[in-house]
Amino acid sequence: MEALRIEGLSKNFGALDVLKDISLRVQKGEHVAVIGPNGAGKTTLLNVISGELPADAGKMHIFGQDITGMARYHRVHAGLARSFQVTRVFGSLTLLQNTLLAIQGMRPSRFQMYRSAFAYEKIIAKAEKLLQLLGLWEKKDELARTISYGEQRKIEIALSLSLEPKVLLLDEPSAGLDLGEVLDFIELIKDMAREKTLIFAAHDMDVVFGLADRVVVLYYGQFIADGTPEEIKANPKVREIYLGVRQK
Amino acid sequence: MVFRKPIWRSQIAQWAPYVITGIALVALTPFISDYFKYLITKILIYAVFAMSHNLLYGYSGLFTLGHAAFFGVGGYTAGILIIRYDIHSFWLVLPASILMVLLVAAVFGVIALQAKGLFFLFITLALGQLCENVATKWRTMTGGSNGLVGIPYPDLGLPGLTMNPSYFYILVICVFIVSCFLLYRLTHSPFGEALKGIRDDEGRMAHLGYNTWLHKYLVFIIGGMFAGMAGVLFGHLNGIIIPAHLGISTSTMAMLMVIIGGSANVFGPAVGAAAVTILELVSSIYVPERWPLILGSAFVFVVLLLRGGITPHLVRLLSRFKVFIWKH
Repeated sequence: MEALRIEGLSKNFGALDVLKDISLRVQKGEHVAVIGPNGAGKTTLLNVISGELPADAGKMHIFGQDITGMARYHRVHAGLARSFQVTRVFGSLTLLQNTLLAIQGMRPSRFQMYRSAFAYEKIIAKAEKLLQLLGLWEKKDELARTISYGEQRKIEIALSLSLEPKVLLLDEPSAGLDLGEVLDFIELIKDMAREKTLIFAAHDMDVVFGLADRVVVLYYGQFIADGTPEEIKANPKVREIYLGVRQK
Repeated sequence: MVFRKPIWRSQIAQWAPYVITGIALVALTPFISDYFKYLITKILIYAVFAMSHNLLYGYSGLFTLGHAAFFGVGGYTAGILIIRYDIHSFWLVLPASILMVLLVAAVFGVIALQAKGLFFLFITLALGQLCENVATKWRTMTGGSNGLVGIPYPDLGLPGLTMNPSYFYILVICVFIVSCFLLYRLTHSPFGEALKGIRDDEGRMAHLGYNTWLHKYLVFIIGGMFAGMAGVLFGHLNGIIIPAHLGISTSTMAMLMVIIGGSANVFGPAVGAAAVTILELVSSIYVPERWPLILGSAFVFVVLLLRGGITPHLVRLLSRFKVFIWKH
């Protein structure tokens, strides 16, 4: 079953073509890494898929549903969630409030104006489970801006995951974490996103080879390679881009 | 469950603050002069107005300078119904005025919420000034720049009850308490939590499945309706409503009340309303012509030295003396 289908997607900023006629098919349950040097268009690709930026041309489908012209929140309800490279958690709210917001986002009770947000037992239980999993339940009443960067990163991913998306986009999930944290983090994501379709942009090869079962290489707005991590490692063109060509 | 308390205890804890405040204010009635009743009534009306402003500014991050438009439309609608159309029953005038405000807010919301941040501020400012101008020019209906004069106390239609300052004072206390309760519930509901999320990062909320525009639109209308209700009572209290009650001077006053009182919780603006009104009274006794200067200084003082408004500092001070029994 095709989870995500992108056909002929283009995006330009003025004269600069950031994405040129990109097509991509992702099967259900696949974990796809999008790699490429700085400025290759990875974040733009995720921004266009998630609706942050409008596409200039092309079509996008999630499980057969056309999402090309949809508003961002509609895409979420269609089953697409994303996280951000720059951590965007709700700093003035507690961790519990942060997770409640995310869980509530998919439910009609988000328009409920009278009953206390903390009176929804199922949602609280779900938030508790999530925060327990992240090891942050003890800190549930702390403000998100006061916890450490690594913990904020976890919340960032957890917000997107608690929407129970069918397709999850992660933009540089390990951005700014140190080596030890990254390895823990990979395990965490693997654990939480096991049966989900995952598309993530990454720089860090530990993350790429730790998480992905398929890698696509984006280079100046075009896919130049597509294959398993081993195939990509051996691909001469990719080596050339990443390591440069030996001068003769 | 972690949050479960015995039901009767949580029920008492939920209602006690409102009941105690209400009874305390009502119990004062026989002991204070009509002038003090007038003063407290004015504070409570402004408090509702400021709290509704804070619903937009403090909770939703919507920095509006046109909030007085709703306050004034409420007051004018009530005044026009009573004076021009001879409809006196409070139970008709209040809902009709609130409905009118709802319609105005529904239209203004569509226009103003096309923009964000500074541009939103300017559009709301322009819409407020537009209302002020309409009220100035439409003399046959609004009385022009003289305002609408001679609005009587509301007629509650209760047999044997003639409205006087004491009864009006009690009526306003009831409205104030109910508004506090409703606003507190609203800001702690899932909808209210979503507003806080939108204030912090609207884009992130969109990616969590929230139609952020709709949330902002709804809260813009709800805030307007509370402001309109305050405007109706204000017209009854003063007996007059003038175009300035629709424009920037009144909007700014609400904003100053919110900032001076503190925007972090529902009740901060009520403290701000009390502070500003009392300060105005004191200055009108000693140096009436220096009022703007004093208000400006108070604002600067709070912004520089009492960051976050009076209320959080007051709570901290009181909790040091263990005076405060409950905390919100």
